Amino acid sequence: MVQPDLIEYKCPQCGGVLEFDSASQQMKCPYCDSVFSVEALQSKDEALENTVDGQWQPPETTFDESETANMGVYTCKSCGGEIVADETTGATHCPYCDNPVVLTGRFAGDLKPDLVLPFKLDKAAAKAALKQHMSGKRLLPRAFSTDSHLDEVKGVYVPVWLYDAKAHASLILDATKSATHDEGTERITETEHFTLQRVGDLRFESVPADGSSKMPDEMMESLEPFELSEAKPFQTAYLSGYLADRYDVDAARCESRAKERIRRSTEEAFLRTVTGYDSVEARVCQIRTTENRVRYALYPVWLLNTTWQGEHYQFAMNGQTGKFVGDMPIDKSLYWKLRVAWAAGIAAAVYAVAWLVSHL
Amino acid sequence: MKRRLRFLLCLLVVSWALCLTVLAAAPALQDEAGLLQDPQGLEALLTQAGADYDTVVAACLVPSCDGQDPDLAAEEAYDRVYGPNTPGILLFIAQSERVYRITVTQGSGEAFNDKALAHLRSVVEKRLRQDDYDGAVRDFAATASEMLRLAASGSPYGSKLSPLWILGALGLGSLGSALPLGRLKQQVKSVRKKTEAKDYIVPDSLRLLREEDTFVRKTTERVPIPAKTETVRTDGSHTTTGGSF
Repeated sequence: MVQPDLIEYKCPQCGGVLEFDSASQQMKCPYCDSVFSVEALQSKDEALENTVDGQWQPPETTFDESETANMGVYTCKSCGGEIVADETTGATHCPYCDNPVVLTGRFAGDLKPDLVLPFKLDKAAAKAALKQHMSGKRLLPRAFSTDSHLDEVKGVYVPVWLYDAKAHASLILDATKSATHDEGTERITETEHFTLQRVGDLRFESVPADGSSKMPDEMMESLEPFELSEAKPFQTAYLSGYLADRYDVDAARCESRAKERIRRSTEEAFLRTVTGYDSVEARVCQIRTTENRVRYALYPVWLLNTTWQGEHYQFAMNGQTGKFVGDMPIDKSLYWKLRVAWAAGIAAAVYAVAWLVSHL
Repeated sequence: MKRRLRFLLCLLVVSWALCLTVLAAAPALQDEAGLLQDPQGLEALLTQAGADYDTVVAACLVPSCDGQDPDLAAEEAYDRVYGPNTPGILLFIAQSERVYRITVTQGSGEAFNDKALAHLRSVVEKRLRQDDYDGAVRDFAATASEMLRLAASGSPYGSKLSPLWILGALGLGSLGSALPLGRLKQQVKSVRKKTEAKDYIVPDSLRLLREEDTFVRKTTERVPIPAKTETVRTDGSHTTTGGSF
């Protein structure tokens, strides 16, 4: 059996393992602070073009067959420790020596991503953003900020499908224009009815849909937009020091999600071309996409998991722009106290104004 | 001195008696247009309405104003029968012009303030729009009597807010509080689904290949203009308000 290749990027100066540094956007040795450009390590990726996906080696443990069906075991090149990972894991750390490793087989051949957006913000920025996210939230239980435990912070490259398309739209609309005037003892309203036709094209680029079932779609969408102008051609070096998964939801299954967003935006864009009418209603709206293209990219996301009162809360930060999202609990008793106080205040103000007006 | 005082006292008693006589003799209802079904009953109501408060409550229905301004016609109708210095209120209706006026003398005190007159207008106009002249006079008498009672008790109509205002204020407060609390709630929930892709539209890529606007038809709707209600007019001796129906 051929075991998938593991790559560790070693520092030529001291032999330590290189990691991708988001601040300098280069490969950096955490031991001797030596810095190397990502391009210099490009040769390591040349084998990706021809690499055959590795065969699974079943683990020699007492896992059930169902548990082992999607898992594989790898050997760390630094310490010889066993690394157990599922079939979608592309980059991880050795659980024994914490060395970052990249499973090249996950990104070889047809599975090779087209683009990667390198991390621009580090773990410290993610932790600071979490603190910032929790501050100033009136309805957040105070104990959440003080008592919640940050269980883990991990930088993850999330697999994303990017869809380009040309949307061709054909709309038939009903519109009206009205005018009112008085004549004698009658008020006359004259309404002109029109049928409008709008046919045209609209282009979309890089509409994302996340290709990982482990990442909630709504969370990934909440982190948008990502700045694709900073995307780089894929190199495994960027993954070193972070976690990465390859896709487990393929492009065909994600397509409907992207198409729905394209369809809605196309309809809105064409409706905006209609001006000069008092009312407009779409009677027929046909939208189809052509010149479809899909690319596979890896997007940087910091994931933070906390626990509070037995409940798990997940937060995410856009590893490029710093946008931070995550739902937090609401202090229900405070909510109702404030609601009652506001209601009483508004009621008193309304009554006072009515009383003053009645006495004018 | 005593004789003078006795003389003045007698004069006062006689004047008061004369007033009462005038009041008692002058009819509370004049239906020259013949619009009422029960004139005797309505006259009794009008007389009773003002009797306890030394105030005239009267109604006058005429076939037409004969080209005269309805405000002046109403004031003259009152002055001719009761005199400009007699405290009172008159409902004046002109049949052919379909206008009505409510005129009040300045000596009537706080009973018929602006709010009271506005309320009387709405009460009377509602009946007149249904051509219910008896109902208009009946409601006018009852409402005027109530307003005189309130004024006599020290709380003229409109001086106190209705208890319904409290309920209304609480309702508005309850609805109004939802807005700021909703905003506070949104701060804590930041994960949202995206339903559109406007960030990914290629700039200036919209091409309109066909843009046709075709006129189909024209529709016309005619609605009668609601009757206007006049504003309140005040001159030296009267305050008059009203409208058309």
